[in-house]
Amino acid sequence: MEKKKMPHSMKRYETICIVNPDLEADSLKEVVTKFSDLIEKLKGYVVKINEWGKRKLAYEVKRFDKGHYVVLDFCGLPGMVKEFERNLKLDDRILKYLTVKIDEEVDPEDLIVKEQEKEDKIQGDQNQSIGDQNQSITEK
Amino acid sequence: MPIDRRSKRIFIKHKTCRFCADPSQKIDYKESKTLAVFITERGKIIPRRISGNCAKHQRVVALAIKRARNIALLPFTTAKVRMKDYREF
Repeated sequence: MEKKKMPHSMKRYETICIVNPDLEADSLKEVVTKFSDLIEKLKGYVVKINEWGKRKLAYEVKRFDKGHYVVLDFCGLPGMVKEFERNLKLDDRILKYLTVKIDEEVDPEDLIVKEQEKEDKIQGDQNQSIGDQNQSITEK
Repeated sequence: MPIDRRSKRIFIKHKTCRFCADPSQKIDYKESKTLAVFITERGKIIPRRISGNCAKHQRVVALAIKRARNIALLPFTTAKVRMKDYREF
């Protein structure tokens, strides 16, 4: 029996991966681009990539006590997560990963626009706060 | 001598769920610092009767802690770390 497929029922997921801490900055970037490209290849949309940098792990994972945390926020069709996780598993540089569903039925293009607006807002606020600080300094 | 019963009475401070009190506070498995409040030194989840969370938020907190454990943000247990510490002495 064929599964019912709705044309616009994309879901929002978040994958958090622990990447090998011994990697250089270049190869870390390569890993991130590799998997963000893979999401697009699987007909998903990358919403946001958040790198936390090197962090201490609460317990050893594959004999490492530190790891680079990378959070991939993306939208995709439900079937793609399986394929995506399979690829994560194949890569030696990924020590561990976790995928969580954040939202059901989202419009990816709308989301990306919203996310960018948010970032612009944050940057605007930062500029403003810096301006405020400058002002307070000059007032003093 | 009569016992002063009033002084013996234990006063229990009424605990309120901090997530109900402040709805802007969100529970996220990525924020290990806020979740760390709800685990013991050994890494166990603190029960509702002690933490004061309401049932709804305790469920959310418990799920978040379990997710955080899975991705090594929080420990499952700290027993191994202690063993290591002992070995160093």
